Amino acid sequence: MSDTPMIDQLETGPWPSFIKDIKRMAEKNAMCKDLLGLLEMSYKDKKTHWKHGGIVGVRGYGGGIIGRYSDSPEKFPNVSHFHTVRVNQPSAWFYNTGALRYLCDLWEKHGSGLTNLHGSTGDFVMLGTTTDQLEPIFTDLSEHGWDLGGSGSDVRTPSCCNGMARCEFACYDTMNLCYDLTNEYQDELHRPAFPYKFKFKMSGCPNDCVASIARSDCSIIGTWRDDIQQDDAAVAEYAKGGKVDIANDVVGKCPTGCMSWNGSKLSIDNKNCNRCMHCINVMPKALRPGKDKGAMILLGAKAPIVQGALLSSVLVPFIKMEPPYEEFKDLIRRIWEFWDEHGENRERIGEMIVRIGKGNFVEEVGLEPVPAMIKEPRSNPYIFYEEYFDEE
Amino acid sequence: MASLEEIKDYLFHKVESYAGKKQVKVPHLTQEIIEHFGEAECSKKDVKEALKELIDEEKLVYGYYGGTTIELPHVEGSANA
Repeated sequence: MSDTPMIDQLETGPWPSFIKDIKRMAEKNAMCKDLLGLLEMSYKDKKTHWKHGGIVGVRGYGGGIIGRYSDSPEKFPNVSHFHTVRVNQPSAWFYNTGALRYLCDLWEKHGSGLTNLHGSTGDFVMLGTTTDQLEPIFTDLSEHGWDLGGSGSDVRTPSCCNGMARCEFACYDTMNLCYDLTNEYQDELHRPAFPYKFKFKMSGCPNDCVASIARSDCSIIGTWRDDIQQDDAAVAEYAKGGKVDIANDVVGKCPTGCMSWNGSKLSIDNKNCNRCMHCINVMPKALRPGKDKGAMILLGAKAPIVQGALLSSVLVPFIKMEPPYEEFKDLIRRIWEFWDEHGENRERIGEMIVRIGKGNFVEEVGLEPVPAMIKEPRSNPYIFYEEYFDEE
Repeated sequence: MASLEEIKDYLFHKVESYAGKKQVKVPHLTQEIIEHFGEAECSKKDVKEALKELIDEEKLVYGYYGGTTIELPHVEGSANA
């Protein structure tokens, strides 16, 4: 009988199995063999046998290594240490095959050979190594032009969609901004000094393919402030082809009802468009984002750890997002200064804004309140007019 | 103005005083050090620089216990197992 009857079941079914992969690695790596044993024990005991945290890291860095120890080192000595290494990924996860070979070879040499591509922060995640291997790994990575990513109370590794490299909808160069911010905030990335983590994610258009609105403290989402570019001849082609029911599938699904279709002409009331991208996604040959492009800055998303999950809400409705991004960086500096001063232990920026009120936050970071600072379109504005209260 | 060495010295002894009692974090330490020297004598930037030097000299290390902590170097119990 197998030593691992419970996890063996995870090899059945049509999908690729992580158990199958770990078993393959276990033939040449003792860590993977013990990992299977520890995992089987977890399934049997219905609890994890990992311990998290501690002081493991590389010299000078507070981020990039996540300590993992097993609570059963006597049974599974090869996974008594099983630390995770986060490697800062290239913008938009573009690797050449040589880079991937190098990273895989490095990990087979110094670790378990198991990886996660990619972690939710975006990093190339290497799973399982021992404390004594950390400095050699870091030295090797550095010599080959790589660096560790973020972890703990620091700026987490910035990540972005592939923007202008692959997508016709990108309203700013997400990859350039991601690279720029990664270089600009090296100190904040490697030397944690914030009340808690801070994540940047960049999407080139409101489709938000990296889900920045749900997954980052600061979401930078491409948008435009003029009119949607419209090609009436291409609209007619969509109508004639019968592939798109413009009345139902485009106009009928416009969330703000800013479009109309009379059977031959599509009209858009652009001042009431909230840039949801639906019509553009349905008819990409006929409709395109406007020409006056930039980004909106949203703040405050997080997953439910200390408190419940939050989505980002609009802080700056439109900003030109061009190098050297001074206006944006100046805003971030003011936000960090305020959060650093007033944020409580393990309090994300979004939680602090909920606690103190968005109106107060906006005033403290030196922004003028505008009606677009909302959580959801056409609802719950945060703005309170002092004159209104005076009258009462 | 407090000198960098004075700030480093005070910072180190603060962390030493918390050892085994409290997992201390950077914002808390920064606040304590500025309160000790006074805002006119010591800024956040000064504390940041002092901490950076102490970490690079390996007199202090980063840890993680529900957020990043600052600690004296030691061998963890888990690592001994």
